Formats: sequence, structure tokens, C-alpha cells
Amino acid sequence: MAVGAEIESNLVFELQNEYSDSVATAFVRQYQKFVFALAYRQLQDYDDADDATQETFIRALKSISSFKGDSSLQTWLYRITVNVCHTARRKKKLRSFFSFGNEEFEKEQSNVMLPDQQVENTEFTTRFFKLLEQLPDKQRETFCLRYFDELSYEEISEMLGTSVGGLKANYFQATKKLAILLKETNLLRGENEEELQ
Amino acid sequence: MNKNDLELQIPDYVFGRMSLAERIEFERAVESFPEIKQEIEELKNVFMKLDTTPISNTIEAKTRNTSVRVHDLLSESKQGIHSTWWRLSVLTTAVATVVLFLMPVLKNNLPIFGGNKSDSLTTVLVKPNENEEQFDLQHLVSIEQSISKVDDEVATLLAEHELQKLDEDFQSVEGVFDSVQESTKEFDINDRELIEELENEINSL
Repeated sequence: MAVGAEIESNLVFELQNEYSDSVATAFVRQYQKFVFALAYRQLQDYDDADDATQETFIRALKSISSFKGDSSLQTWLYRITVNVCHTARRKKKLRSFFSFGNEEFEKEQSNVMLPDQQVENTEFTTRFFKLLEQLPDKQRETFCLRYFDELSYEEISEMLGTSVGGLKANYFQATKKLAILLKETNLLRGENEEELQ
Repeated sequence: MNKNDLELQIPDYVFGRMSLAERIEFERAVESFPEIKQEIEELKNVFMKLDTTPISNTIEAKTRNTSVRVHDLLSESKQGIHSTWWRLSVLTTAVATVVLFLMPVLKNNLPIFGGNKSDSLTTVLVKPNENEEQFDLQHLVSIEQSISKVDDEVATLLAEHELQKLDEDFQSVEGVFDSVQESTKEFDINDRELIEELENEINSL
């Protein structure tokens, strides 16, 4: 969700001038869901997204003094996250070259101890994001930033470098395509019950 | 408002992202376009059934300890475990890998290694006889050894969780491997012209 300008400027001021662990924690908590969701959309893997989220915040906190306020803090974080994810994808490619599939085995193991509800939620989320993957990149990002993160078109325009008019067109197309894709799956409420009857 | 303008506002209307004034104006304008009204109904029917709570819950669960982990990682990095030895070892391994890859070629072409100039680069790489099989075997063994060494190094590095520094080293290793892969590819296609060009360059040296 978009953060108010006043809250954001206070946060930046505190991070740059009155840095403390509690200020850093407040900063991370404010943006962690936004960064994680973005990282997951980019990497399609929860563990990788988790690592990328941490890396993003570490980079951001280490270089907060260089933040000039030319863009919003959220836009700045968006760019760092995209860069971190880009590096993570390259690292993963390199690791898979060396590991010969051991990594996949470790990932399967890591889901074993989750509670049932959490597993269901995770499965639903995975399937939903797989649907989103079928949209073109710009349409998917526009949809997620507007629908889930509730950002204004101006903020999204700053992040994606697309005009507001272009974003509206992307949002409309993404919504239409997603509606078609959702109808083809049983991700919608009541679809499972109808199938059982 | 024309039809196209109205269409672009459909998602904001359906997902309730309009002010009251915008909403009233939109609804008034849509009255003249029954096909847009129908599209709105269809989208509403789909998205009202979409429960995004599991998605919010998943993200909430996955980020529950993020601030703690970031804090811990920052503290670790502030303590400053300066281990330049492993950075050097990765670079050394990368250089050794390149040398191992090029060794069969250098051995047969440079007099400093006791190579026979008449046994040229072209004949070593292209001649379809026992030499080629031997070369391939040596080549494969050296590749395997190099990969094994680098793999061990990478496993050690990952265990140390020094991601920041790893990034730089991975980039350099990746660069070396890309160039090695590129050169291997070039050898594989037996590009006579390129090989001859290389041979001429070596001879001129």
C-alpha cells in the first residue's frame, strides 16, 4: 500500500539523521510486504524472494545516505529490488550449473513442517501468481502495483517508466485477461463446490 | 468521455478505486454504452469471487521475521568478517581453470612448453585421429577437475553467507566461464578460418 508523503519524509529524515535499530526496523516493516511480493513476482520462488527481500533492505539501509528524494522511497526500493532480483537470477543460474539439482531437493524438504492452513494459502498464492505469469511483464506489474499495492498511476509511472495513459491501458488489458484466466481455473470462491456437485 | 476513455476506467470502477464524484460521472457516461455495462458486470462477477486473503496471509507469513533477519545480517556485516583469502582463492581458481582449459592448446603450439610447431593448432583440433580423442579426454578431465574445484569453493562460500562479497566474485567467475564457454564453442564448431587466424597470430608472435 502507498505510504503517505509525510510518513515517508519523516522516515527518510530519521534514517539519514537519527539512525537507530528501531528506525531501521520501522522502515523494513513498512515496506517488507511490498518488496517481498515484488521479489516473488520476479523470482517465482519463496526462498529466493525471501533472500532478495533481505538483500534489498540491507542495500537500502547501507546506502540510505545517498537517497536524495528525487523519487519516492518506494520507487527507490522498487529499483533496488529489481536489481537485486536480476543479480539473484544470475546467481541461481550459476549455482544450478554447479549443484546438479541438489537445490531442488532441499526446497522440497523446506515445506514439510508448515501448518495445513499455511500450506493451502501458499498453494493458492503460487497458483495465482502462476496465472499472473501468463500476462506480459508490464501488464502484470501494473496490475499488481495498482490492485495489490494500491499505488497511484503517477507512482507506478515513476517505477515502470510508462505514461499514465499507457498504464491505464495495461491495467485494463491485464484485468480482462486475468478474468478470462481465472474463469478457466478453480481459484475462484464457490468453483470447487460447484465442481463437487 | 468517449468509449475508449471509459474502458480505461473500468478496472478502477470495478475495484472501487474511484471517488464518489468520479463514480457518479462514470456511471452517467456508461449509460450510453451497454457493451461497457456488460463488461463491467462480467468483471465484477469474476473478481468478487476472487478471495485474495490467502495471498495476503502468505505474504504476511513469509515476511514475519524479515526485520529481525535484516537486523541480524546488518549486525554481522558491521562486525566485519574480512575474509579476503577466499576472494583470492576464488579468483585463483578461476585463473587456474582458464589455464587448464588452454593447456592442451598451449602445450602443442608454444615452444616454451616444448610444443611442436608443425603439430599446429589446426591439426590438433581438427585432425580426426587418436590425437583428437586424447585431446578430448584430457580436455574433459581438466574441465571436470576445474568444475569440482570451483564447486567446492562455491559451497564453502555459500556456507559463510557473505552474499554481498559473493556477488562480486560470482560476477567475475561467471565472466570467466562465459569466455571459456565461448571459446569451447568456437573450438567445437571447428571453424577452420578462425583457427587458422589464431595459428597465424601465434606464429607471428
